[in-house]
Amino acid sequence: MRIAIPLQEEPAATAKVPKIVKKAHVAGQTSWIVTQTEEMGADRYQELLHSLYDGVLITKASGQIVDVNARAIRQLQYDQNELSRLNVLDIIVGANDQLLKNICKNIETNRFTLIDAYCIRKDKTTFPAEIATNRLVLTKEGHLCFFLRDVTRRKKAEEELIQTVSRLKELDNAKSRLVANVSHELRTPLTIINSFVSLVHDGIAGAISDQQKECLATVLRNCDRLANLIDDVLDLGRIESGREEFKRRRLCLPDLLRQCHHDFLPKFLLKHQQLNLEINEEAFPDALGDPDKIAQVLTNLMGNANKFTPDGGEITVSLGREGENARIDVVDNGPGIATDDQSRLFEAFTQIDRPEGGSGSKGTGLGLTISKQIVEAHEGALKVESQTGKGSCFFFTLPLYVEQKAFEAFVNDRLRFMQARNRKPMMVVVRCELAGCAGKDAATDGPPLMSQFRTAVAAALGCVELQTFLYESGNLIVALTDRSDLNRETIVSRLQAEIKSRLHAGNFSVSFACFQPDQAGSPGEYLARAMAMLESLPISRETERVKRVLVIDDDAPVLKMMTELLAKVDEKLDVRSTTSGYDACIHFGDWRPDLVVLDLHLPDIDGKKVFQSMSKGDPARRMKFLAVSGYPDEIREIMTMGCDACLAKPFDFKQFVDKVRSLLA
Amino acid sequence: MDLVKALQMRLADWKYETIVAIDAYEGTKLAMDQKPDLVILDLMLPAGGGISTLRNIRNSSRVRFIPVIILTGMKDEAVKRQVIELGVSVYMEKPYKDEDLKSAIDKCLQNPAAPSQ
Repeated sequence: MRIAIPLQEEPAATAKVPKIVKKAHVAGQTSWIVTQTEEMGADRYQELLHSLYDGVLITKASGQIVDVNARAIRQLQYDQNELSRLNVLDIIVGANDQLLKNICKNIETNRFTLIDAYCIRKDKTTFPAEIATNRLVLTKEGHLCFFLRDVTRRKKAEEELIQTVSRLKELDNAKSRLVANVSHELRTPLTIINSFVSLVHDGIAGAISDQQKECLATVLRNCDRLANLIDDVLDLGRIESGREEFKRRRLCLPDLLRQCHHDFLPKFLLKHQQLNLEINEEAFPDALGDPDKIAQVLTNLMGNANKFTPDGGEITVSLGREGENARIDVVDNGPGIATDDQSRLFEAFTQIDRPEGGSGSKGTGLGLTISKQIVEAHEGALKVESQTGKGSCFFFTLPLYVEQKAFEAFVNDRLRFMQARNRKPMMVVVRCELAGCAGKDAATDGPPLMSQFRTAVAAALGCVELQTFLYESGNLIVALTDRSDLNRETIVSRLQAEIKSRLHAGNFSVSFACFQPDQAGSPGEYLARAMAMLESLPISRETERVKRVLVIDDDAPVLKMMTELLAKVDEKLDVRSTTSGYDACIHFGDWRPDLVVLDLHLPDIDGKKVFQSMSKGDPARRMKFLAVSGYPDEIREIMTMGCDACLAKPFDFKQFVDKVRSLLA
Repeated sequence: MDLVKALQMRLADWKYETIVAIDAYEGTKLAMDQKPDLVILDLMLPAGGGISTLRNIRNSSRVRFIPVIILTGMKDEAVKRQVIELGVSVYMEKPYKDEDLKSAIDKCLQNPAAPSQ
C-alpha cells in the first residue's frame, strides 16, 4: 500500500460554493490508496477507515454514499443508515453534477481534487471543510472517496487575522494621512513667514541694521530647514502609502550621472573637494527607472558625500554592472561610519554624530530613508560599506531595461498609484498593425505613423503616460486611465475620432480592448486577457480626405479675401482662419492642416516662430507652409528655414490660387 | 491673502505696478478691464477656481495673448495638464523662490506670446 499526500497548500476561499482549489498529480499510476480487497481483508479495511483523522465518505461514481467512517458520522451528525441513503452532493453546499464530472475528469488524468467548501450537517447547519477526493478501487466499478476535514477553527483564526491586519492597515493609513495633512497645513504659514521675513531682510519693508539683517538671515535659514523637513516628511509619506507616482522608463544612466556631476561640481569645488566620474563602459546599456526619482537618490548620496567629507577630500561616482543590474557607487574618503551606526543609517530621523568640525547645515535625517524606499520601489537595493577612518561607499543597484520588465513596471506603477487614490483603473490596449512594418519596434525604428498613433491614443484617453511596445505582429499601445467619464462606448468613439483626425491616409488596421483590471492579476495576465479580447476598431477611411487649410493673417480684409479665394480653388476645402499666431500654435497645431497660409507680420508672435513651432509638431513634414509678406528680407529668411513656398505682397489672385493648387496637389 | 500682500510688496520692489484680485471672478474682470501685461494666477481661488479665470482670458478676443504665470500649491497632474493645454507661459509650484519668479516674469515680458508646452 502506498500513501502519498502531496497536498500542503492551504486553500484560502471562504465562499459558500465548493471551489476546487487544487489538482495534484497522484504519485504512480493508480489511486493513492490502492486497495485490492483480495489482498486486504475486510477487517483491515475497516480498521484503516475508522482510524483516519479525516471523515471519509466512499461513494459510487454517481455520488451515492456507500460507506462512511465514524469520524464522518460525528462531523455530519447523521447516523450511518441515514448517510447511506444520501448522495455526497447533498452534504456539500452548492454542489452539483458538474463537481462530480470535474472530479472524474481529474481522476482520468491521475489527479486528485481538493475542494474548499461548506458541508451540511443533519440539522442544516454548515461548517467549512477541506475535501480531498480520489478514486478508490474496491470493486470493478470503482468508487469515489471523499476525505472531509473540518477547518472551522482554522477559518476562524484566519478571519480574525485578516480583520486584525485590515484594522492595522487602516490605522497605519490614518497615521499617514494625519502626518501628510499636518505637514501640508504647516507649509502655508511657513511660506508666509518666509515671504515677510525675506521682505524685511532684503530691506524692502524699510532700512534695517546689519545686526538685524543677520538675525533675520538665521530665521530664513531655519525656515528653509523646516520647509525641507516638511517636504521630506511628505515625500516619505507618499512613497510609503504608494501615493507617489513612479514613472519608470528607459533610462540612460551615463547621461543622468553626467548631469548630476555637472550640477554638483560647484558645491564640491566650494569645499576644494575632487569629484570624479567613472563610467566603465562606453555604451552602457539603458536601465529601467524614473529619471526624477533616481536623480533624487543621486542628489541625496552626493549631497551627503559633499557634506560629510572634509575640505580637500575626494569623492568618486562610478557606474558599473552587478549581474543583471546596473550599479552606481558613491565613494568618499571622509571619516567613515562605525559598523554599529551603519544599521541605523537608513532609519527615519537618524543622524549619526559627525566628527568635530563637521560642516554644512543639519539635514532632516530622512534623506537616506527616502532614497532607500525609492531604490526599493525600483526593485533595486541601496547599501553602505564603510569603516571608521577609511571613508564610505554608498551604492545602489537598478535593473537594466528589458521590454517585458518595462511593461510590467508600467502596469504595476500605474495600478498602485490609482489604487492608492481609490480610483478605478481602466486598461486600454490598442494594437496598430501598420503595413510594411510588421516585426519592427515602433518605439525605435517604427515609422512616424506610430508616434501619431501614440498621440491619437493619448488624446483620446486624455492621458500622457502610455507604454508602447512590439507584440507579435503588431505594435501595442497600453494605457491605464482613471478617468471616470470614460466607458467602452466613449473610448471607442474618441479613439475613432482622434485616429481619423490625426492620421493621414495610411495602410493600417487598429484593434483594441478595454477592461477594468481586478486587483489580483499580474501584468502578464492582463495582457493575455487584453489580447483575447481584442476586437477591431473600424475607422472609416474616406477615399479622399478633405484637405485642411489654415490661414493666419491679422489683416481682416486680406483674411476674408484669401478665404474666398480658397473656396474657389476647391469648395470642399476645410478652411479655418485666425488673426493670431499664438492662437495658431496653441489651437491649430493638433488640427494638422495640409496647408498653412502664414502672414509673417503678426501682432503677437513673429511669423517665423509660428512656422518653427507648428512644423516642430510635424516631423514628417506633411504640413505645407505658404509664407506671405511685404518684406523681401523676411521671405528670404523663412525660405532658408525650410518654408515650402512664398508670396510677396502685394500679389494677384491668380498667383495665390496657383501656389495653393500646387501645394495641395 | 497674506501671501498676496507679500508678493505685491516684492513686485513693487522690482518696479512693477500690480493690481490684485482675490477671487476668480474678480480676476477675470480685472484682466479684461485693465489689460495687464502679465497675470500671475493661483489655481485655488474662490468663485470658480483659477482655471476659470484662465479659460476666460484665453477665450476672450481682447486679452487672449496676455502671458499667464501659474503660481500654485495645487499638485494635481490632471489639472496641470488642463492648464497647460489652455496655454500658460510658466507653471510654478509653491513654495517658489523669489529669483525663479523674477526670471519667469522677465521671460514673459520679453517674449509675450511664446507659449510654453
